[in-house]
Amino acid sequence: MSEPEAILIARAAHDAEAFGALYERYVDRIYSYIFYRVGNVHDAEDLTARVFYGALAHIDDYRPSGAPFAAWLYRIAHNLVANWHRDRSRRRDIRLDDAVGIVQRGDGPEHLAERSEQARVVLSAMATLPAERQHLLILKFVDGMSNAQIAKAMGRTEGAIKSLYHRTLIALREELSKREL
Amino acid sequence: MTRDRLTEILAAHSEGREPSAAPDRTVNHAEPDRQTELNSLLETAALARQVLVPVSPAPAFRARLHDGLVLAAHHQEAQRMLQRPRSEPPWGWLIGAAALGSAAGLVAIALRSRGQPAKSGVGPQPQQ
Repeated sequence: MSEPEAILIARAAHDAEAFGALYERYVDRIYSYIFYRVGNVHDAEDLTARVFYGALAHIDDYRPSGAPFAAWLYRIAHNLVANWHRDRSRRRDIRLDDAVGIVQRGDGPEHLAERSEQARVVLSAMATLPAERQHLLILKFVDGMSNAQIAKAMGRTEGAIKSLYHRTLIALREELSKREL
Repeated sequence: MTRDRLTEILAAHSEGREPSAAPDRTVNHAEPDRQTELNSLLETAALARQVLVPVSPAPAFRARLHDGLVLAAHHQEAQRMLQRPRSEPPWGWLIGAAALGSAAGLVAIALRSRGQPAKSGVGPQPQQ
């Protein structure tokens, strides 16, 4: 049975192996989130590394105040991605090639072209949404979080998340219709 | 169907469950616009779900980052130990302070003895 998280986090503040175990628990989720926000492997790897080095440097600052440890990591990731967008002035456009390649995995050749075009359109539309809405979609569909979990991760009420999800789908649909999908 | 009801249906659907019981649990077929709206948004959600699949970092990167973090964590802990305040008394300071005090005492005694007049009969005596 894996170590309870609260104990692992307490140990991670002064035990290198414990921090390594925390990393293994969360690296996939954080990497996924960043990958879909920046759209390419190189920057996703760079920012993922920065998230965990930043977490290590400030592990003493983490307080289990009701929000899960993942929420703390997502907040670090969210801020780093926001800085990345600002520094590169890539407000809207992301490189989609890597992301489309990921979506192609597991498909038969007869559907490959269709899915890759569809993925390109959806990801392009998603990239135009405000960061908060992209964040919601990634937590819901990539991470598989429930509305209650997303609410904790984003520091909102569950009702607010439901409303945000509704508005996000409307905005995404509008962007997709512009792209004739 | 109200907008709030639509919100609830979409939220429940996103979690793969039925929305909570409500008077208008089944879509009212007298509201085709709401039904169209609901279907359109459900299609959008399905598209997003289809595209947004979990991804994993390359194994080499993942291992390299793990090793780097563990090394950094060891270094960080070593730095903390060096900066930790000592629990035992600062013997060096105490011994130094005692030596200084002893030297000061000896100097004081020597200065006092120079300033006092001689008590024996040897040497010139004051005129009576």
